Amino acid sequence: MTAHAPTAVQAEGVGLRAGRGGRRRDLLADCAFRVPRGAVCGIVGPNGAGKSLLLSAAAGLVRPHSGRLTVLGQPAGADALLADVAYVDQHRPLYPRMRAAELLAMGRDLNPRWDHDRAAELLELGRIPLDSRAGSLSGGQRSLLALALARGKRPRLLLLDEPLSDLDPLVRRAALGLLLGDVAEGQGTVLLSSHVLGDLEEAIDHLLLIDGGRIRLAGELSELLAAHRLLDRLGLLECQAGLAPWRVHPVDPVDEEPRHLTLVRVEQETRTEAAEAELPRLEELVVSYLRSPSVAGWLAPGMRPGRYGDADQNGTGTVAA
Amino acid sequence: MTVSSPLRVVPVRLNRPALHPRPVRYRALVRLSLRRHRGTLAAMALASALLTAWVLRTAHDVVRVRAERAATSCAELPYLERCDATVRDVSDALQAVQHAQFALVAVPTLVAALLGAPLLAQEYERRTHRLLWTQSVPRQRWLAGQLLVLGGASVALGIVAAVLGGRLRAVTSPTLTHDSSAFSALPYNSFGPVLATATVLAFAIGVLAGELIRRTVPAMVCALAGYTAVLTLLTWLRRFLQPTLTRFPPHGYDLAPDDWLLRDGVVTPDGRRLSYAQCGPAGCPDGSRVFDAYHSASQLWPMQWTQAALTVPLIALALLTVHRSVRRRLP
Repeated sequence: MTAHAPTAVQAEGVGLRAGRGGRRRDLLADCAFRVPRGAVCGIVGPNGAGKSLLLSAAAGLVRPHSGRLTVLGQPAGADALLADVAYVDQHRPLYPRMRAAELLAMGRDLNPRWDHDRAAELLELGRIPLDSRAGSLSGGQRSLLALALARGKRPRLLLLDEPLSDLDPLVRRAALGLLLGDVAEGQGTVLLSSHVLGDLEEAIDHLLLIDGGRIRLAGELSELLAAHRLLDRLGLLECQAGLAPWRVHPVDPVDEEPRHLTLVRVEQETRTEAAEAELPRLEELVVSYLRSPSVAGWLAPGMRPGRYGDADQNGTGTVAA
Repeated sequence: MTVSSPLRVVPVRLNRPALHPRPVRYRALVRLSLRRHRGTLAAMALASALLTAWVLRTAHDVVRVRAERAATSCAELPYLERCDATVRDVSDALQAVQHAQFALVAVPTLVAALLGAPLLAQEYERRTHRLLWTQSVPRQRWLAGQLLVLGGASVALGIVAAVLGGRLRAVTSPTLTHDSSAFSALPYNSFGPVLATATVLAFAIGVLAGELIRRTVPAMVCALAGYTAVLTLLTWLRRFLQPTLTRFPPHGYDLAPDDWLLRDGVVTPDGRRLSYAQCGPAGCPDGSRVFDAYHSASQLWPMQWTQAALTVPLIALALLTVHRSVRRRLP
């Protein structure tokens, strides 16, 4: 395993509630993970899983009711973080009566590191005239304007809630290119959520899967994939009989109808022996975990919280230093 | 197939040297606030210009009617036939003054509903607070910028209304009829420091309602209800703000027209104060003296200033509550 990059976002036992007053409900409980700096981390999960809530909390708009959420080394929501963190809300709130140019002027006025050119690039992408009012723009153009305000701020952490949902494929690709270019250029970190994995797959290098109020999967994509295998019926039987040289934890249910292929997680120290078995694709991995809510989640070492990332989450396998 | 340990590509840092970070100044926040509320502010400016024109014209008419009445000596002999026109003019002018005073008293309610309540409620309703609170400015400073602009506008409006009301009071004083002393609820609330501070108080109550209720129209309704309640309370309270004067006139009521009679009756020889109604059919006890408890015209301004001084802490309390609530707000 490679040395850890410094941490951008770290959650330790974080619990988050949605709603106000008596209608509050727990959405996330006891979440623990870390996102290293420089990562482009996709937050995936079914609708209502708490993706937006997690991003809001990282932006300092929601306080965790338990645990500790740290952003760039400071508690989330600290005033000192405001200039370093940019956030794009799912609903793209913009003043409908303000013109694009005025919104950019607002960004310039309110952000000390404002970079007009970076913001303007996204506006050009959406062919947004500077004198058009925000209220008259299409959904995709509003998204681009909101992204422009976030990008012009030159943040060290970019939090994007469903950033791509209403962009057409060409613009989506170009916008992603610009945003990821920023990450490659500096030491920026991006957290972006989507309930459609396909939206993200080509952009992200880390994944956080949220479901049922818990973190189900977290890790660098290559780490996640390398820890899992698809076994055919025979391979699975071998494992269950203890004939195979490696230990596995099935993710897909094994006692139901025999499947063609069953997803299993391979214990770390036996992983080299499992090299011949088939690796899953990311989508298969995610779908299998979503389909089996009773299976314990798994965090790749690189996304486990703590200074060295070696705290073992599930008591399974030892993490090599 | 072998699984290699994940390899991280560390990009070469090509970042441009950091632009010189500019501290965010209040001027920028004020500019944002002006840009955001320019429509409302323009409408308010127009409305206050119209109000000024109306009130000044009304005041001018009163001055003219007064001069006519003085010239014709109809003030002393209003029942003469030749005075009919003058008497009608006077009552018309007073009617117009009353309408203008109603408009002045309505200024704070407009400020509560149109400047105060939407200030935060509209942000919450449109979720734009989530856009603003993630810019590089702490939300309390953003709030301060907003309050500076819209609060400043309500102070200005309050002062304009107070001065206009003062003009109306000046031209109707000494009073033209016995029932229009400046102590009555309508004139009292339509001028001077009371109206100026009430306008700012209405703004603060509006902002507070918006912060607590978070939806524009319900916040407007609650702001109006809240302001009306506070105004009613203060209006009732005004009689206690200055010491009550008592006099024992030899022949019953003889207060000046601009004085405010609180109660009158008799003082019995054993020192009890009775109203005339309490004397009963047998008449008041022998040896009773008539008394008038009242506020003199000279107490009007001290009373106004005392009430204004009582209003200021209410304004501060409301705005402080808003400030604290915004700082802790969980959207």
